[in-house]
Amino acid sequence: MKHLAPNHPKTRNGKALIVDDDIFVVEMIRSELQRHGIETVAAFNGIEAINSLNEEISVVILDLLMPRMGGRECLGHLQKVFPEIPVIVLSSKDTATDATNLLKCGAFHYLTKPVSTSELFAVIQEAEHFRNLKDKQGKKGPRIRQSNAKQSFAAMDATLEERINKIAVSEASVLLNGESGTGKTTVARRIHDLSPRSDGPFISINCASLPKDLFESELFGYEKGAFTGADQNREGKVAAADQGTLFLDEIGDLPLEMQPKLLTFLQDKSFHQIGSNKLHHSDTRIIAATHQNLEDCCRQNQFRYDLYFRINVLGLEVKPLREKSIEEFQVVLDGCLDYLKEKYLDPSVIVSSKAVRKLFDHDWPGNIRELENCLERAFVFRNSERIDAEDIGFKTRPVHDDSVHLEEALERYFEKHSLRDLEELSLDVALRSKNQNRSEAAKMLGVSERTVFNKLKAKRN
Amino acid sequence: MSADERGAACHFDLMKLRIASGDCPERMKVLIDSLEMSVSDSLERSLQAIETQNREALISAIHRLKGTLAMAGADELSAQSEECIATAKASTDWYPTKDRVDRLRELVLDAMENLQLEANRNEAR
Repeated sequence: MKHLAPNHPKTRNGKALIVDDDIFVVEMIRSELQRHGIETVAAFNGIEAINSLNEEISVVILDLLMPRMGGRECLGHLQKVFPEIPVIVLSSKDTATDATNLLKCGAFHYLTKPVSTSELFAVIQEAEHFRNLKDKQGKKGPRIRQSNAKQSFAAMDATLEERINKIAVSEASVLLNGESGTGKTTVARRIHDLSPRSDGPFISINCASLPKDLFESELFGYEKGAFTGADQNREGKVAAADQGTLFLDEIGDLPLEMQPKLLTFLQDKSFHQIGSNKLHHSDTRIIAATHQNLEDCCRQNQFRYDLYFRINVLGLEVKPLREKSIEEFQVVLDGCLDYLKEKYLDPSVIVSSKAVRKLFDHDWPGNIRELENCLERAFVFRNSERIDAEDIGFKTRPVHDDSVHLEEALERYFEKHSLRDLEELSLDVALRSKNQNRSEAAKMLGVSERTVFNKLKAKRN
Repeated sequence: MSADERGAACHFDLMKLRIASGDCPERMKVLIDSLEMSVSDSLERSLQAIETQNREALISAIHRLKGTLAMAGADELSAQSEECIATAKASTDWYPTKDRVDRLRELVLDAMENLQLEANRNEAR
C-alpha cells in the first residue's frame, strides 16, 4: 500500500500538548499534527496536563469538559506556570460560550469540535508566531524602554501592557477609548511596534483637525486633474500605510459622509483615489482612537453602527490618570522623570514622597500630557536635586470644579492680576497643551493664528 | 430522511481516518482501536447512568459519544446522539430515553463493526 505523503513536512522545536479525555480525539489530532511534522504529547485530564508541562511544549490544545480537572481550571494553572505558552481551547458547539469566556482568561484561541485539520493547523501556526513574538519582545523590551522612555511610559502600566501585547499579534481593527491626553497615540504606536507590521509605516491622521472637504483626498489621495489645483497625482494616507498601520485619531469626528467610504475600505481593503476609476488595494491595519462614547454617537446618528462594529473588533480603554492606582501612577511618573533626566542630562534628580502624593492627589484633567508639563516645570525650577511638594504647581483646577469653581478662582485671580495677565496665561496654557503649535493653540482659543502671533509679539516687546 | 435512510447513513467515514493516518496501516490501526475504546467507554457509561437513573451522567456520556462520532465523520450518528440528549433533557420518564439510547447503541456498534471490516478489506487490497 502506498502511503500518502505529508502535506506540510515541517519540523519544529516545540511539541504540542493535547489534553482531552477522549483517546480517539487525542489520536486524531496527534495523527494530523504528526503529518505536519509537529511532535505531540498527550494528557487525559487537567492534572496530567500540568504534570506534562515543560519547556519543550510550545502550544497546548485543551478540551473543556474533562473529569478530575476541567479545561477552565487547567487553563488557570497553565497561565500561572507557563504564561507564554499559547493555549487553544477545544469545545463543542454547546460549550462555545464558555470557550469564548476562556479567551478573556488568557486562552489564545478556541475551536469547536469536530476540529477541521486545516483550521487547527492554521491556529497552531498563529500560536507559534505569537510565541515567537513574545520571545522577541522579551529580548527587545528593555531596549525600547531605554531608548524611548517618553514613547513607552503610557503603556507601562502592567494591565495595559498585557492587553497591548495580545492586541499587537492580531490583525483585527482596534478602537482605543480614553480621555484627551491619556496617551492613546503612544498606545497605538506601541501596538504597531510590537506587531508583525513593525517594519512597515505607522501613519497617523487626526480626523478632528481636517476640514470635511479635504478628508477624502487626505485619506485616499487623488489623481492629477481630479479638481482645480490637483496638478499632480497624490498618494493618500491609506496607500502610504500599506503593510503598516493607519492610526485614525479622534475617529468620532469623522464626517458622516466619509464614514461609508472608510467602511468600504475596512471591508475589502480597497479604495478609489479621487478622480480615478482604478481600484487600489492597501494592506493596512486600522487603529482608531476617540475620547467620545461612540455608542452614544451611533444612537444620536452621528456615527454609523456598521462602521463602529467594524472598527471596534478589539476595544481598549485607556484609563485617565486620576483613575490609576498609586502603583500605576508611580510607573507613569517614573517614565516621565526618566524622560526628563535624559532630556536635561541630569540623572540624579528624584521626586520626594510628599511630591508624589501631591501629584497623585491631583485630578489631572489634561492627563499624562498635563503631568509631563507639570513635572517639567518642577524639574527646571527645583532648588535641589530633589523635587519637593513646594516645587509642584498646577495650572489646572480639578475636573469636577466646573464653572462655580472657575468663577471663584477668577475672583481670586483678579485681586492680583489684570485681564491682560489672564490673556497671556491663556495663551501660555494653549500653546503648552498644543506643544507650541500656534495654529492648534489658535483653534483652541477660538481666535485666528494671526491674533496668536500678534499677542506673542506684543508679549516679547 | 426516512428511518431506513437514516439507518443506512449511520457509518463512520473511513476516508477521513485514512487521510488522518496518512494511509499508514499502523497509524490506522491506532485510530480504529482508539475509536473503539472511546465509543465502548461512552456506551458503558451511558448504560451505567441508565441503570442508576443518573440523568446528568447520561447526558455527559452521550455528549462525549457525540463528540467522538463527529470527529470520526459519523455525522448521522452524532445527530442521533444529539436527539438522545434532547430526549433525556425533555422527558421525566426513563423509558423513551432508554429506548433511544439502546437504538443508538445498536447503530454505533453496527457501524463500528462495518468500519473494522471495511478497514480490513482496504488493507488487504
